[in-house]
Amino acid sequence: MAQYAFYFNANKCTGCKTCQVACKETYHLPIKNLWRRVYNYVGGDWSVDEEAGTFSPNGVFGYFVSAACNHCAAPACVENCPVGAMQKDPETGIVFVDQELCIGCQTCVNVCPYGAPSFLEEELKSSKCDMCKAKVDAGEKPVCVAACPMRALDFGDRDELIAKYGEGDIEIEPLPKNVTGATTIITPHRNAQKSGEGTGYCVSLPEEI
Amino acid sequence: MSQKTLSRRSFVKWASIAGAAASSVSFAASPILAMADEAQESAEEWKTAPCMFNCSCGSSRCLLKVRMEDGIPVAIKSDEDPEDNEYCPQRRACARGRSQISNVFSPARVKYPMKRKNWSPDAPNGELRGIDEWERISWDEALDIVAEQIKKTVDEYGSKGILAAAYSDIGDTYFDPVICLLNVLGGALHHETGTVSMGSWPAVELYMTGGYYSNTDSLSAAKSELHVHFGNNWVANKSGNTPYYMDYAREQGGKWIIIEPWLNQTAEMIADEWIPVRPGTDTALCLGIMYHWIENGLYDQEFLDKYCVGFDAEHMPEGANPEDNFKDYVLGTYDGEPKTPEWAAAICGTPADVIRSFAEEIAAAKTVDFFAGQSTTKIPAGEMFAQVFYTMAFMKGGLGTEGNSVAWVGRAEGISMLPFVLAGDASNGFQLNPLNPLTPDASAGGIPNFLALTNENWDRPDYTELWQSILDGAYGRDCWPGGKKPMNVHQIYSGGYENSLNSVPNANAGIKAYRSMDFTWALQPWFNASCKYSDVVLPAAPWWEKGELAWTGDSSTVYWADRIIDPMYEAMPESYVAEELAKRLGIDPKLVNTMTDSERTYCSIAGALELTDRSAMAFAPLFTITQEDLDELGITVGGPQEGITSFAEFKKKGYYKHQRSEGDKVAAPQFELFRQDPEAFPVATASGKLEIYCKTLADVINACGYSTISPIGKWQIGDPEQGQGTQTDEYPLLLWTPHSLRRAHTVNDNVFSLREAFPQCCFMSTYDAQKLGIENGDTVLMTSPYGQVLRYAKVLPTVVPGAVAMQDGAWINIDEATGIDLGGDPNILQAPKASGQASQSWTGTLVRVEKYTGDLKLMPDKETPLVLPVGIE
Repeated sequence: MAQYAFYFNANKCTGCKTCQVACKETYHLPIKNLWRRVYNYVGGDWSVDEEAGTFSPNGVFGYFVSAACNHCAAPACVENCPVGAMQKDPETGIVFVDQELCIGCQTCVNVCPYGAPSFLEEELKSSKCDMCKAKVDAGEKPVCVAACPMRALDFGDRDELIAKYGEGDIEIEPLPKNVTGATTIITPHRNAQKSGEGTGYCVSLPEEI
Repeated sequence: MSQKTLSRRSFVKWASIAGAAASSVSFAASPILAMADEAQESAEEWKTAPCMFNCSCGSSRCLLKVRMEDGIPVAIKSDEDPEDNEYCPQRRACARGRSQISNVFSPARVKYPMKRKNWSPDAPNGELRGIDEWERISWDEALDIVAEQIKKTVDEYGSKGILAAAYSDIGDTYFDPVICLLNVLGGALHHETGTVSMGSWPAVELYMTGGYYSNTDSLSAAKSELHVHFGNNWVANKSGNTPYYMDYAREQGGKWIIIEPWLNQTAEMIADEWIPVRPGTDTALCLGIMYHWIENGLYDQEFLDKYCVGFDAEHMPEGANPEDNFKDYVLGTYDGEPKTPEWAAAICGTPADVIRSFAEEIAAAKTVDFFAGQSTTKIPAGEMFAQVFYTMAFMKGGLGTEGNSVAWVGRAEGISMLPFVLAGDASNGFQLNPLNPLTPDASAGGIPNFLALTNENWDRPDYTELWQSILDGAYGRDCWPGGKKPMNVHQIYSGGYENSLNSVPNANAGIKAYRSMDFTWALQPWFNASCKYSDVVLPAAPWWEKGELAWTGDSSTVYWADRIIDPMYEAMPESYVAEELAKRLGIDPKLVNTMTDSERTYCSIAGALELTDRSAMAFAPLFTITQEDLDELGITVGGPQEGITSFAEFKKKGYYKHQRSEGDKVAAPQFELFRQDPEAFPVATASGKLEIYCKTLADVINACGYSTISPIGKWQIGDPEQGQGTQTDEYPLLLWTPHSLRRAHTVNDNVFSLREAFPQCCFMSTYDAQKLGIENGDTVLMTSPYGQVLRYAKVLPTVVPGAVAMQDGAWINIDEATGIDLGGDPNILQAPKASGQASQSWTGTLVRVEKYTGDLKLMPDKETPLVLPVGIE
């Protein structure tokens, strides 16, 4: 079985959220539903010298992480779905939801460590990124990949991506430790901190992620 | 069934609900979200809709393709051309472009002509503007009212009784023939004296260097070893490929240093080093750097001696006091104040040792790309920073050779006096548009040049102080020839793609001015604040509903703009309104709408050019136009022509991109010929050299009466109530107002996917927030002497202590009981401080921020209903 994956280079990410908005607009997602979102992780503090009238940043840093479904090798959403609506495509490894089977219990929403599935309040169904399966089948790129103005995103067969970009590291703040076999390959930002060891915080407001 | 059933039916429901539901705060999503399986769509049709908003003062223009199903736009893509490299990158749009279906179908569209319920010619009830309900009226009734009111105001007060809050520059792409109508009537007032976008740069560049908009191109810039960029947030204000090329320059080995009050999103991406400074204090920082250079001999004396005047006592221009040279000012020889790094540190906040090592780093670099954003001079007496910035680049000395540059207008792919390609003039191709007789006939930057002005009838208020000037009945300064100029405005027209109530400082005074009028009207596609405070609002068709033009905007692409859909609801193009008003006023409609639509199309393509040789300033016609093309357009005025590519192919493809190559003839180092032979190729300054001491500049600026500057760059507190050094216990923080990716200036604030992505926040430093007991996400009240705004705080370690930022352009939403703005428009807070060349001093407004304890409840922007006209379905 092949495994398709996303690639993300955090050094090129400007937090412009074109990926997020292009996805949202293409699929007409309602407010509070994002299949891709962009986090801003920041840290450090200031020393102020009142006498000299100066300030010095102590390890002040900031970076962005664009994150969608990681199409995991052992997806918690699939393992925990009580009705088999969450599925992993055997051909491509893409994780998707069959909304006809979905009963809207939101188990997937609650168990995914990345918050990838989102709940449609009106339809009472789960929804999520399926890597633009239909476009990929037709030989096109996922919307977010084609949209990124910095060319920071890519996708493809995971082994080929590793050959091109290296193994990367998905365990960077504010993402959690990888316990589900997340397949996304991330080139960490030069100031990135390891998941669970971060000294900063995600400054994005809850309403924007 | 999986997620792949987005049918046209469900989309239509989405679009129509989004369009109709007055209180809609979200996409009314399709019942089951679904994927458009494009591969299975037969007869797929894509139209071209280049992004047409002014997001970047011309630095970017991106490609949008719109997929149509049965005449309805259902999806957008950007540039997916197989070729994508530094010589011809794809023109990928940002989030704003990608959300244009939501914008065009927004519930905020002005749908019908409408009138405020309690307005009548005899009883305007102006105090109800912004509060009143609305009623739908017919186009005929609306046009009758507007025509009658124009006539009344002109008869009683002359054409100057009307403020046209719209671009006067009808020769630009943003043309509005209503302005032609007002020009026929004698010309309305336009608030265009001074600069808004350009800060205090234009006059300084002109008189110190002899040029305008001089910069370097992205391929040349990538050859620089060091990029020293002040106030660069290109991701938000020069989106498109400008940030892409920054990354390209990094890949070529360049090091990036960003000097800014915050580690902004551009800096988070690119900066190898961030030098934090207080807002508006870059002047002091640069003086500290140059002191270190002088102290240690780390500058190019030979360049200064040969190419510049005014650096030291030995090289002063004729007639100048030798003691007034720049070097002795920096050393403090005569004023007793050496501009040491310690002196600079106390002003800009950057520690002296950091200033020294920064100075060493610049001095050590072989080639430097010096850039400073327009905002860095949007401070009182902001010319001072432009002066010291150019002086610093001259001291470094490499100018005129590869990899060395100095600029404030971004890259040549965006803004250039010699664009690589450009479209023809669709608005005034026949040069028949009537001109405004009130236009000053000599200007320096944006200000009338009083030393050269001959049109004594000129009348053009400045942008910054507009609202208070209307209330006071005069604008300008007592020192102007004839003193302050009287104003007697009784009517405001808002159109021509401006939303002045939102975008001019001191918006509370703006609301007062609006409420004091006899009549206010707007011609706009979206119900923005300028519409809300009007009496009659007419629905203008946005770009997608007009089109059929070749379009440009940046310097490297010409786009074809299709008409995507017919005008929605009862929207009409501005040309219709201008003609109908002309008829009612007894004016020949052809006088105000000087070209037919197809003539505009023709001029846009026939006048399109491509740069072929920069040094020869040679351009060639871009498009081959055949007789067949002309017949199809129904054109009889022009003939066929030979060009570089065929019009038919261009139209089909939707764009023409300028192709770059190594060593092409469209780029050259700035001042290259001057460097080679300064005698044969002098720069166009008074002395023929680069003027560190520039008397002309000081004379022109000081004649304006807004600021007093020196012929050399000097630090000063330019206003006793603004900027570093003027903070008080009541107002201890400095506000600045950067651009947001949520909007292009004031456009797009109605788009929910953008409101969700970019909440309008009060950005503040963790340092200040801790002292004030404010946590990330808290509701805070921002107060300046001019107004109050309620926002969520975004508490950032990436903002310097003592500074606060709120992004420009959010739509006003006043709570009438408290007067607090719930929309988050920084112009409610902004001080109306005209400065220097009548530049708006956006940076350094004094504010305080406190945790809000009152009764008002703020909701996330994405859940806050849009302000819509009450009473209109």
